[in-house]
Amino acid sequence: MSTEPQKTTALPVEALVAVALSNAIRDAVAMGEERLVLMLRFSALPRARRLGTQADLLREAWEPLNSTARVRSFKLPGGDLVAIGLPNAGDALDHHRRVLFSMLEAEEAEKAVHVLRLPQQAAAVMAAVEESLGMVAAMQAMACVEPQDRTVDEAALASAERGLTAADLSIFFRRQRVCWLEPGGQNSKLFWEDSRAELSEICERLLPGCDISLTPAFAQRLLKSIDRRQLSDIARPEELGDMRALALPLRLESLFSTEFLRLDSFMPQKRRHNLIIGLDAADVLAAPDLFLLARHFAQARGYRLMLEAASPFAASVVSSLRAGFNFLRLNWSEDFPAADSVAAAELRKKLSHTAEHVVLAGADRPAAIAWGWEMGIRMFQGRLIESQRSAA
Amino acid sequence: MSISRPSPQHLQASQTSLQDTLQRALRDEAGRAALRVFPGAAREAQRLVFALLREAADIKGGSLIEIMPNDWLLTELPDPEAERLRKLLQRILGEAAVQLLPLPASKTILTGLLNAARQPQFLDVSETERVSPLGLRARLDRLDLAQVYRRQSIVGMTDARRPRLVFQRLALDHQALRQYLRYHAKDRSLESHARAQLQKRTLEALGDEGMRQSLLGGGPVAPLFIGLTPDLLPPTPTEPTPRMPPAHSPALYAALSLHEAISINNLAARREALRQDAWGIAITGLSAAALSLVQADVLPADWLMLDWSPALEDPQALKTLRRLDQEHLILDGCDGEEAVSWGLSQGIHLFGGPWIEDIIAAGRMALCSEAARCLRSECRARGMATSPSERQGCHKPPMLEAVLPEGHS
Repeated sequence: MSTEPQKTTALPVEALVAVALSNAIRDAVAMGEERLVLMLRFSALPRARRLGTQADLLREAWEPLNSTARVRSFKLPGGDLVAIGLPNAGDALDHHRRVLFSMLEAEEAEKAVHVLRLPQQAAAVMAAVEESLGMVAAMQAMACVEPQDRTVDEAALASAERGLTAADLSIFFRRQRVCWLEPGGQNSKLFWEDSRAELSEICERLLPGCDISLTPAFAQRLLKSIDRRQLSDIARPEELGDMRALALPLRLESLFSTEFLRLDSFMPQKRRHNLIIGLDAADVLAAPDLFLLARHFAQARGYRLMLEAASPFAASVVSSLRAGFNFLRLNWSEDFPAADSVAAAELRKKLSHTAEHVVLAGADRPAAIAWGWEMGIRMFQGRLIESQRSAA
Repeated sequence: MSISRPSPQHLQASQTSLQDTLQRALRDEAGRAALRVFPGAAREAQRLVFALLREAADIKGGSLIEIMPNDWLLTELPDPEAERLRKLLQRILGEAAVQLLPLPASKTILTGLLNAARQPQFLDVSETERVSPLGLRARLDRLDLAQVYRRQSIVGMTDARRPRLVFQRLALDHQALRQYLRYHAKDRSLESHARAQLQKRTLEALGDEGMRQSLLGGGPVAPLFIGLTPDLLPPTPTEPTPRMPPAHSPALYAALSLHEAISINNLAARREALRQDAWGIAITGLSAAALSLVQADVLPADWLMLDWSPALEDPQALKTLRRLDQEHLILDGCDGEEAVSWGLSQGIHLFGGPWIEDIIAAGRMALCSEAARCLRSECRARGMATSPSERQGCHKPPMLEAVLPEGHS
């Protein structure tokens, strides 16, 4: 690509207006706050009104709304105008509605000038926006309109964190075995156990009706609190006494928490090898300097590190071997490229760990294990591995 | 992190025992060593180093003293333990961060150090501080975007003297945000939540003509970079639409941080779809440390933004860099001529950062007939401002609006 200045001086303002308008509508609906909407739809007017002087006059009549207090005015791509006002701007909006009506034939005005109310008439507003913005923007706006706001706010987060200190977390942790499984499935050998929090279940209990994935930074924070709880639990002498090989997914910051450092000081040197610390690729890249520090520390103390990649793409971006990880953990899903495809061959080329050091999690169905075998992977974790245990 | 200081009434007693401790450490007994450690400013590193030092001191004796912030001393350890700990700390912090002082041979050095210190204290590092999220939203609601956003520029240069404006960027000033948030900024997650909220507000503000004018100080004069979180990206249509070649080069670039970019698993397809709407993708935050961890050549982006630091000379970072197409690289954070020279030597031609803002202000003033009435620092600050009030005082607003007007040489 040339580094010459590119000849694009206009912002695609329409795209931005679409975002701003759909957000304004969504917010009003989500919060259940009342808003008045005035629309002037040029697209519903006869051709003569849409062009030239007549259109200019209509736009001029609208102009004061651009600077009216408590009103936000939007110009949509097709030229349609939308103003959203607080209830106490009702007079101003009504005044402009009457001005527009006075400039048009009654029949024209009925079709082109609308006053709607949010949140009650959100569907009608959306329909009009859809016509103006086109499908893509409308779909985005629709997706934004949810029946109720499920965002976690800070008060809910604080209360969930308080709840966490008292809750018995053990029921929210899923322990699964990670086994070596040769094709044929005969000689499976336990390598370690994997213990991870089921965030969705914890949220169901502590944040009912909320979706924490809408606020990823809050989800990270909650996971850090969970990490610290789990680390304190593991540091108890009775737990440490008979600790077998265990994989723990941790937030990078948790490795520097008082709880981890306490666990580290309690754990006998020769046992540290038994703890496999799982770090998510995105978490590692969010603070690379911190990761380098953590890696030096973990390696010097004898812990093993496992890179957890949420997708094949994430796994291919981080060079897990060069970054100092002992293992790479992939979470299989239907989205993975078929084992005999070009994409799978490319993925294999991009993964820096050899297949023997890759753990395939999410092995809930035979297809996952078949995929893994095809890729040379022999370490598996998932419901299928668990069912083998119960069968044995 | 906070180092807890003894209260005044306890100070005298602790000073006495501090003296005793030092006397004891300086006794004439061979086979011992003191360790001086510079843990660095990161609170995580400080907690980690403190835990390791305390563990050694608890088992083998010796005391922990803070000579100055970021200058710590473990007064004594038996030789083998001191040597073992030195190795461990050097592995974690680097060679230069740890100094082994054999005792009693280093008695004079130690005495000198402690005498030079304004007030040596026993070292204590607090436990992980829990920062309550309450009040964050109210604080953010009171924040005006102009307080924490800057209008920045990315220039093209083929030598160090002839910059051309290539991109504009509406950038969050992280330092300013941290200063504003203060208490809440002590928690990385809360700070990152605040950033995400501000990015959403900025995107909405850009959709409003008045706000856009206010933030950008006039019409955009070059394609614009805006920092976005993945959920703010325009959606991909679920129905495949007939693909047409994009009419123009992107006018807007979504600047995604590296860790957020890798969480979009269909990033390549998203980038293709966005191009139809004249959006492009830039990936930010490729520091030397990040480059040592990634295979950056698999990142589907129009632009990759490197964070300048001399550590980019690190062999591993350079190795990753060599595999990238320089035509898609921007060297960000340039703080002096050295950065630009290094970039040019690597075949990079696009630059951003504080030093770039300096030369832009200089270039603008060289062309401005009213330049004699302003200071360079004033012109620079007005050029980067994101509100009309901060631009006040300029006698040639069209020049300011144009950032770096044509005709500059």
